Amino acid sequence: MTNDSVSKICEFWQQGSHEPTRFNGEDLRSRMNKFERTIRRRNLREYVAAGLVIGVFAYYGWVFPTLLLRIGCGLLILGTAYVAYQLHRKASARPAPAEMGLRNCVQFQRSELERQRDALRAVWSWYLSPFLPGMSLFLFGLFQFTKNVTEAAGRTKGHTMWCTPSAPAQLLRASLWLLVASGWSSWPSGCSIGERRMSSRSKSTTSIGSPRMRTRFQGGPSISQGCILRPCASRLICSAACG
Amino acid sequence: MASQEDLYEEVVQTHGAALDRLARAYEADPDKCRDLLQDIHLAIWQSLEIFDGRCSLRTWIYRVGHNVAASHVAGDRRARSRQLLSIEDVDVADAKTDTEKSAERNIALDRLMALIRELKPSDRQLMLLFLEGVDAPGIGEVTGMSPGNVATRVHRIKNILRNRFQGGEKS
Repeated sequence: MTNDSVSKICEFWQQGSHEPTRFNGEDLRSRMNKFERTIRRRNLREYVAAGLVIGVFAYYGWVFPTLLLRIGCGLLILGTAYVAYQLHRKASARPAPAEMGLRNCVQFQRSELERQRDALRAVWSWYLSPFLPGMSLFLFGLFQFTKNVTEAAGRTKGHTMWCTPSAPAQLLRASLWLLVASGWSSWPSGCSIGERRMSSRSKSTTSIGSPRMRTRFQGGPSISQGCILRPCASRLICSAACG
Repeated sequence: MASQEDLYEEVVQTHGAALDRLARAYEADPDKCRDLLQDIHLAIWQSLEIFDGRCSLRTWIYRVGHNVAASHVAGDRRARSRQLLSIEDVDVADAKTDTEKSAERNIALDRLMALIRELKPSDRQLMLLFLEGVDAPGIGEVTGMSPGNVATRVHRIKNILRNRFQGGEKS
């Protein structure tokens, strides 16, 4: 066999298609609109979830009597607003199709991997830590409040179990629970999957993220997955701990 | 300077068939393939707005096409679970794909498509560009691989094609 035979295979390959598929401008615009609608819906879902979390904690702040609980609620509201802003900012930072033409395949894949790596590395700083101060104070305030109510009702101190130790220990315990709950709720949608995906793709030097997924903030858990889950998990833990 | 619409029309006329083959080589499922092709056309159409001729139109559309397609593969759960092969791991001569025995043109094409879909995206890009008749510097320009790397891999591809698909040309 010679190079000529390979050329014939190439010719044979190139003749393997019929009339090329055409899309008119309307088809393409409609595709683009559909895609943008999906993104808008996804963003709306995130903002509604954030609004829900803010509304719930604003209500808690209003009805709970102690200052500690109110400060906790205030910090949680601030944390949620900050995370929502970050999600909005990061989800908007996506490569335009034009960039695909400006960069060759290796450069494009590298930039996609770097973007994802940076987002995953920073997930603790912009996604999880904003909730920590508020949730710790909130849980601590809730323990104190439960303890006071229980004592006022004439029960023995031992009845509230581990809610009774010193304040720093309670704060530490609340934070630990929060960390566990945060890790649990962010694990399926967040870091672990993203990191695994990144490491396997780095090995095979493939690119990351479908055009649809690229516009989402891959690797970063959504507010609806995280913010709702985390307070729920924390509240469950709290109620279980306080009997 | 031609308008975006004119350029897009030129792309469809000159490279439309190659884009069809590219989409089919990346996606076996006909519905998904149609979606992928539409995504590629959409990305090309959008990108042509800023095309300024700093590289050839062919290089530009192959870059966009392969980047969209590689992203599609990376986002596809089914494809992710499959172990993709490097061009170095492909058997040069495989008895199962001896097209001497079944030199039907379509069968040979299907087998070639199947082989390409088993490759890692970077090798897939290289194989497709080679089959489309893009020369080594052109392949380097689209993929970003070094000339030496392209030459080595093209040599390997030629060996595979000679040994596996020589029957195709007889049809």
